[in-house]
Amino acid sequence: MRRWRSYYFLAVPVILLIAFFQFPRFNESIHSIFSTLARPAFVLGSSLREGLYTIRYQSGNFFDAVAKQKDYLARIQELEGQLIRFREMERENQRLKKLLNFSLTLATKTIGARVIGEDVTPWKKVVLLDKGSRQNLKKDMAVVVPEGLVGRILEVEPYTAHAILLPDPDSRVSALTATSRAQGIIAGIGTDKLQMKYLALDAEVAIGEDVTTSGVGSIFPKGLQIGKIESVERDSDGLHLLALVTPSVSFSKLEEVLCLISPPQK
Amino acid sequence: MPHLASPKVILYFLFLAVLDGSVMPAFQIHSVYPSFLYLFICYAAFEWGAPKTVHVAFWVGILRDLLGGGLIGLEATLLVALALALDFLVQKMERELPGIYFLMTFLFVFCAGALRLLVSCSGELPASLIGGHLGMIAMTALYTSALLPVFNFITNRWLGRASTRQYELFR
Repeated sequence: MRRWRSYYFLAVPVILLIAFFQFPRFNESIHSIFSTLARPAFVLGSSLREGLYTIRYQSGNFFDAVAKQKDYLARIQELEGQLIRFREMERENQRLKKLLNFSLTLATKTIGARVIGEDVTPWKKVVLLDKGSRQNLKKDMAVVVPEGLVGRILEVEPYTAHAILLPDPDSRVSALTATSRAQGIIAGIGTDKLQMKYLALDAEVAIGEDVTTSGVGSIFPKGLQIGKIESVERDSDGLHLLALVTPSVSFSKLEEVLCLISPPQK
Repeated sequence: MPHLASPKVILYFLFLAVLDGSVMPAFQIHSVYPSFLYLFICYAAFEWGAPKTVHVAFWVGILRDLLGGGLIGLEATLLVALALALDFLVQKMERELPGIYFLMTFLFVFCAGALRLLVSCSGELPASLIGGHLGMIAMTALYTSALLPVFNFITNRWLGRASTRQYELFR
């Protein structure tokens, strides 16, 4: 019986439908009354909807920003890596350009080499070059950079070579002061300074005076810059003067060097 | 099971009406948004049983007619007819079947939308557009039925769950 009551209930909306269909003005009046009564609730609902739209829009923006931030961070990292590489290339380019310009000023032929290793013993100043006898490097060739003399080739292997630098205690170079023309021997002491030994007692060596190679000894060409006189004192044997020289080359920052092929012109 | 004329149910019903009428568009996905009023009919069918479903469907229909601005009684008639069919199916269905509630809700919402489209727009829309509209109705039905567990949870919290049914005693 209850079930049939449900079916009878279908008649209610049907009757309503027919009634409102027959009396459209009544239909409009009901709509108007409903709209008026329900207006506050729907105004409240619409403000809630606006709030939800805002939240949805803002959260959409937030997630977009988060996704973009990840992309941007990855891109920044990539670009920073590129920038570092480009800066390094630019610096290398400048160094090589300087080296090239310097090599053009030299009267001798040169071979460019890259410093690929160095002796880690604190007082030893020997570096490994990436060129060897196959590239025509020979023992005792002078090694230079635009700032001045670096040292000489100590040993040559087929594809590499060892170069002894001026600050090495075993290094000796015949040198000349630029103004007073006093001759001496530049020797390394294992630090970032050099010593100029065997200067005549009457030599008028000035502080700050340039020191260059003298060309004596057939290894180093004449006139290569070595450094500047920092201080002068009497040697412990009392027969000579001893000068402390600040080298013009920064030996800790060597990256590319030039090896002079031709024998020095006397 | 609460009495339909209780203030709690009426308030909830009006809350759903406001939700459907003005808040739900905020949850739209590609112009498809769910209807909690349809879910209320399905909830009544699943939880309260035969006589109440029809009453709920009637009031939902009247409310939707009023909200829609069309002829009052049109959607009410359709929903009452569909509610009768739903009640019939609910009595026959195997409740333990997985996804059966989802399927019933989907079918109910889809049929309600499709019938409404058929009755109100028949002869006015070209056949090519009807297919698109039916697709939208299917998406609406899918979205609405996907929210059934949420709706059940909220409604059970608000109205209190119906007492244990006979079939539940013999699981």
